[in-house]
Amino acid sequence: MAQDTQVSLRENGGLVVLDIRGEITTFADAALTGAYRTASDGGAKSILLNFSGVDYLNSAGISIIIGLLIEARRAEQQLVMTGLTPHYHKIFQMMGLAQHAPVFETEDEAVQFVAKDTVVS
Amino acid sequence: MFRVIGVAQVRFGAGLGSIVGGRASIAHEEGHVLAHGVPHGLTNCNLAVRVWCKIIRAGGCPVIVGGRIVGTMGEAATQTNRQVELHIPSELGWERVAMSAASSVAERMGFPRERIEDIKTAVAEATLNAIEHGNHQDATRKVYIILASEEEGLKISVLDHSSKPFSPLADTDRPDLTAKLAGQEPLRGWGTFLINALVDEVEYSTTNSGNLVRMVIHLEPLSVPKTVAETKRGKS
Repeated sequence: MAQDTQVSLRENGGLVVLDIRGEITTFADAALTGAYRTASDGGAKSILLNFSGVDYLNSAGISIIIGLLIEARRAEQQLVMTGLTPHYHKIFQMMGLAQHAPVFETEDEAVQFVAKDTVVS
Repeated sequence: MFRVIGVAQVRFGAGLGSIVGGRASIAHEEGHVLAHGVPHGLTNCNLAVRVWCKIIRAGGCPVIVGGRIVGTMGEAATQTNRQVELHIPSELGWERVAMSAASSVAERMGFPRERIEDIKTAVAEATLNAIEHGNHQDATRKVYIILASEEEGLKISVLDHSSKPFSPLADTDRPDLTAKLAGQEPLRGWGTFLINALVDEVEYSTTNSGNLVRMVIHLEPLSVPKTVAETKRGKS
């Protein structure tokens, strides 16, 4: 009963945006990690995970996101997130995940945050 | 789901007592006998049968479901009418069926939208645990889910067929995200944390048939008075 997960890449400002559609479960590993590595191999320094097309996210899927965060830290990249429903945003806060990968209400806010952070550093 | 095959004396095993004049819904499946509930007065269910359903005793005697007195015969009958039972295959992805059913029941009961989302996640994670860790994704084994609409709130039970008792996180335990990010702990292991955090009551137990998770979500969250108390403490 595996469901498809589609991930597409695009650029916005200084961000590479991963637009995720479908479910984030254990079956999403190849699609999500593959897209992330494509962005990383292309030299992305800041990557935005856009969850606005995600209708189901479970603990196995969250573990995949933690895996991406580990890769981002090793590569000294910044991982940010947007498009989370209030429920999943709450869960990310409960887990402490939002402290390591900032969550923004809108994509524009994420772009501004990354631009500001780039200027400061 | 259960075919009622008798209204008669039901014996649960030598030396463990019996119900005389009671009524039970019993059926055979996978070589086991299914019977609703636990006989009155029998709390140690070391039985040669799978016990997880309901026994109704005549004459207004207490009815015990899952080891707890929940009401009299009339009340139990009402509860039965507001109970949904699911048997789902132990394949990843089928937990969404349990989520959908739980969402529908919760919506009918009048839960607010944000609480329904909590319920969906809790049911999904309990079912995932049963599929993955309890039944090891063996499609021939089912996960049993009961969604009971009761006055107190929504009661959810999830049962697998594991022969090994699980050791879920205690209420206060929280996976160490920092350790996970440092590669010192496995990435997985959030399921029971989410369940514990999202429902009002949770109880993990091991039966002869497998591991059982019971969750209760109150219609009026217990967190309300706690929040008031916290507010007062904050002001003082």
